[in-house]
Amino acid sequence: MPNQAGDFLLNFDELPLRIQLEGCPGEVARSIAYQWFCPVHSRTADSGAFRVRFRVEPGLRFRPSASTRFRGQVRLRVQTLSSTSRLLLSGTRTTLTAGGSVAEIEVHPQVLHDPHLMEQATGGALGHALALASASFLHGAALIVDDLPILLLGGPQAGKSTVSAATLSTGGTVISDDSLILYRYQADGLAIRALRRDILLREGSLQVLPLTVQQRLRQIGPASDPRWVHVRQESDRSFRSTMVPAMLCVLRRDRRLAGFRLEPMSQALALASLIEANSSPHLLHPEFPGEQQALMSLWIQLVSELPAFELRLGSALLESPEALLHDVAERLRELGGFRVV
Amino acid sequence: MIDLQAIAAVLESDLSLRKTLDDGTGVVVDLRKSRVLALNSTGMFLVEQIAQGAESVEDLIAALTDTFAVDQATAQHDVQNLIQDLWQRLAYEEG
Repeated sequence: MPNQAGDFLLNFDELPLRIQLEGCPGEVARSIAYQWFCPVHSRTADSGAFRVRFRVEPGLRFRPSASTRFRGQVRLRVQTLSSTSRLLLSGTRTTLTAGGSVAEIEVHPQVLHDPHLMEQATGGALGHALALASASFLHGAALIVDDLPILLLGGPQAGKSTVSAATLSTGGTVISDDSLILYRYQADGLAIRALRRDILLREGSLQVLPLTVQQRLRQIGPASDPRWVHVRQESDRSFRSTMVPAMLCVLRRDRRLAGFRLEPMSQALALASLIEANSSPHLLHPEFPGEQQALMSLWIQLVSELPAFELRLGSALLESPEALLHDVAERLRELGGFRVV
Repeated sequence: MIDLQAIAAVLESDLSLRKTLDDGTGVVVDLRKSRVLALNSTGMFLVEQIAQGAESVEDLIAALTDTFAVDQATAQHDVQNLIQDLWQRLAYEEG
């Protein structure tokens, strides 16, 4: 018999942000809290928390597919009308109101007890809650290579996941290879936090890893699934959940190159890359002025404080990833002008 | 026919967002299409001139040559390219 739905408070200690999941099955709330590195409390009233109200709606269209469980790209449609945005995923409908600290999420009955689908369903509300807390949900990687903490942005297939795998093989640290939170800490500093505990690596990316490292990773999901999952452990020095970035690199694959090319980027190009990496584009809509201002302020601070580079990686990424990353790190040190924390 | 006033109207409305950064470069974001245009310092200068009501291409060329060390032919080329780009990205609605 499935767990009864109830109210659960998730605490993002670093931000600070608290999210109250209402009408959520207990096992789902605990799974989401585990993935998001959040302590969770049941039935705790907190008037300052962002509230996410779940309601079952059997009329929603839902097409379950076992093989899509860990596919990366989620198809999301957005409708913005007046001060309200509706985010539509298969089996879920999220309604957000500008400046409001409540999200209403209708879910198909088959979604309600699936922790992974419920986590996806909550993503839009999380993005809104983060913006209200002056934090940003970004599509990007965060890595520490040769002691250099790098925020790495790039479009689909740019190679973020492969660089993350190569970072592991060089003895570096991965905070996230795909999704992260940019937030302010200690009044005016900027930091990055992994969004999820599990790190998803594509099959092709794993091929750059030595066999010993591959053996540490655990493959889950159906055999046809293109992704591997590593569940990070607190004791594992290859993974951390937070870092203070020292630079921003925007990654491009360039198959004509053998090695790499590193060029300084203007602040405008760096800001454009952050806007494109924003996982909550609806919050830049004019109907959400407060959220828009909070996000732009955060990104402008980042491009004003950190040096930015365009990093073009050639075929050496797959042929000799460790040597390539050491060379990139050395070149970044030569260019200098950044903080190393 | 490119209409500078139509571009200015979009730049000044809440349908777009523009920001000039410390290094003089900047962005124009089309909020309807979630598209970002990254511009160098002369591009942002021209965007501001258009937003503030520059009435003609000649006005823009004159403002550019008065402010930056750029010859007339280069200024004309840059202005034409930029307003064409802004027109297609921000103001022009097919059909």
